[in-house]
Amino acid sequence: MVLRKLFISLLLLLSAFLLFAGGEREDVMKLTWVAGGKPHAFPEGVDPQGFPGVQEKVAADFENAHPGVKVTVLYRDVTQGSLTVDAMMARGEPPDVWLDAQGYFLKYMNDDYALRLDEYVDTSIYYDYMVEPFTKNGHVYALPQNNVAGGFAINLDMLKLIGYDMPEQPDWTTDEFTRLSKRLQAVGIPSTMISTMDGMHSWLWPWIYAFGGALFENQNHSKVTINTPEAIKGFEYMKMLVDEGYAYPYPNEQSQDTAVELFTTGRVFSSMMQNGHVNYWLPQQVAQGVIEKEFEVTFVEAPHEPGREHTPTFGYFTVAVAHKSDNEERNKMVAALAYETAVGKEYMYALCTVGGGFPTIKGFAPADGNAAKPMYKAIDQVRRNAGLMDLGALSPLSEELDRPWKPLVQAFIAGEISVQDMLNQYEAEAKQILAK
Amino acid sequence: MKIRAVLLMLVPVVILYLYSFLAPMALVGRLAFYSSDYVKSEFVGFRNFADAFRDKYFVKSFENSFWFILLIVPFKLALSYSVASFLTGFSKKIQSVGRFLLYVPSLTSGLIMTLIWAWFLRRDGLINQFLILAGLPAVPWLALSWTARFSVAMIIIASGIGMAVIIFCASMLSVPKELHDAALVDGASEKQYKRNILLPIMVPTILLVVLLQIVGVMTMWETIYVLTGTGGPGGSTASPVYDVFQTAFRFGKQSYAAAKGIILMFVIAGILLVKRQIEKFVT
Repeated sequence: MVLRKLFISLLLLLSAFLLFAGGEREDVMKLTWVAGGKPHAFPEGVDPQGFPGVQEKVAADFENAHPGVKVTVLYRDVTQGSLTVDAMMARGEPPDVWLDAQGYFLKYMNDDYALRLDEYVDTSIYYDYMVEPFTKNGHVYALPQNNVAGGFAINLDMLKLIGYDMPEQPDWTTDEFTRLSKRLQAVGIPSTMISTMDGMHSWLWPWIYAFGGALFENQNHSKVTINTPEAIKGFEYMKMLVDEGYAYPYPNEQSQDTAVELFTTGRVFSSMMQNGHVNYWLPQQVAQGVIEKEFEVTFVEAPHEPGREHTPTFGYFTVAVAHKSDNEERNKMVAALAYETAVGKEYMYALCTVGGGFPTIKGFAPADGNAAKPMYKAIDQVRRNAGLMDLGALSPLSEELDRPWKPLVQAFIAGEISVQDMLNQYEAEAKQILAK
Repeated sequence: MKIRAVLLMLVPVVILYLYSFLAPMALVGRLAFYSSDYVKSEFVGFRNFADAFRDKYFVKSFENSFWFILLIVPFKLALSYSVASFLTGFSKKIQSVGRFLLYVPSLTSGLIMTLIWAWFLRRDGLINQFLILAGLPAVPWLALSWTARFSVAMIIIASGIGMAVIIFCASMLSVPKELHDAALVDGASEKQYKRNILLPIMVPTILLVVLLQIVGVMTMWETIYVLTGTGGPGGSTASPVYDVFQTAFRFGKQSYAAAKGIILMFVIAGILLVKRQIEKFVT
């Protein structure tokens, strides 16, 4: 009897709770923004106004500008997938806007899921080449928020040590790099760092592109174009650097992290790097007593084969994607949220000056903080002059294409298979993956 | 009234079980028969299962498990059984201290444990420094298939021995002391008692530990994720669960991963059945 009463009381309490607390005001439009992995720090001199990150600040500004809208900011890095986002998708409540460093949303870049943003906002304000990869059948499905680029980082103190004058940028060739490597080897310094441990994300591609090799051509991700005489020359040059002892040994045990570690501790002359890594790690290495003082660093174009003009560098965009619903009023507001907050100037300014990214809005050029540093400007010049490599990050199958790559390139570096065998096998595997 | 009260008290647990275990299992079961990106779903019947059997990486993950079972289970079993047997010879206090010390690594996060091991296993890491001191060449532990497998096995053995020791100790201590005394009175030596009396009694526990180890090997995840990145080199360290993880969250093929997960579940259930048959046969 007592239990029954208790059970009925609990049911009544639960009903009352659902009736009074669980209801939602119909006049509030709730939007969700998956805003990257963590709160972004405010630029120096900007009052955070109690907000933990720039994202919440711009979301609050958006709410003030659009009464009746409530924005929930979620921090999730979706670059390698996100259980939260998957769960939201699975229960039919996808985030209204999310930030993606290129790859994850691609399967949703279609009319079933994504808003045609060009129908709601002015997409002409962004650099055309940044919008183009996200344009399909004449419609823009994502807005470029941030451009991260890297360059070939070199240690200028080491050049002074051996009395080497760098040739003018477009004239720096692989032949010249070999001569430089010999001189560095004479004083016990590896001329560069090559890694294969991170598969396709490893720091080896500039050597292939230096000879005209390319993984994909003309943004066509339906086939790989790596099995060419140009690419073979690049791989052979790269292996020569390892075999002759010019490059840091054991590429198969090196990752992007060890590249940062080796370069910022002054153990190699050059490495592919993002400027944010150097900016952060050089002072850290001094603070931790690993090196006595910071050495002079700059970013240049990687050397290229004589007769070629440039070696492109690596880079990627973070983009904002907006979810399409059946409610047109909501669609308008979601597009506005993407446009005004995720890809707005306030957040972009923080990304450039604190993070060291490059702006995507034409004519918008922050010049404070990291954006004022010579290294930032050097990388900016490299990406503008040399362009970016297309390593297939925009292919929905990029991660699958990575799987057969790593064992093959590692076997090639270890001398177990020839470069031609490696490329034949990879091409065959890639064909199978792309045919699915 | 008593039964109703018991049933009522069970309700929260049953709801929790349904919500957090059975319902997701049912959803995974359903997902496996679809091709879905969460926005669009299409019924594909057994296609995902057929693809899984043809997937060389999935098949290789079972081959890897086979090698890992050979590398890990006998060593872990022999080591934990010997340690447990050794510990039970001491007073209760010393036994407790011993079990605690051996179990501590199991309490540490697998990720942290693996990160520490990753540092040990670097080309310029602690283990290679010792090898060089001993006049031996440094070993590229994580760059070659077999050294990488050996490295993973070493970590699993070192960090997971405590649980097996506790299970063996509990089982050994439950054996009536009179059996031991009677054997000694009948003229058996300590060694003979352990080999001819204790060991047969321990068979069900040994089989249980073997089963747990096999399941543990097939479901290894964080050690591989941290140590070898993509289950490398050449996919030689990827476990079936790691392959399911990659399929679902790296390649974004959740329904295909669901089918692989179900196949894995049946394989483990099959191993359990084999274990039961062996148990029946030997006891």
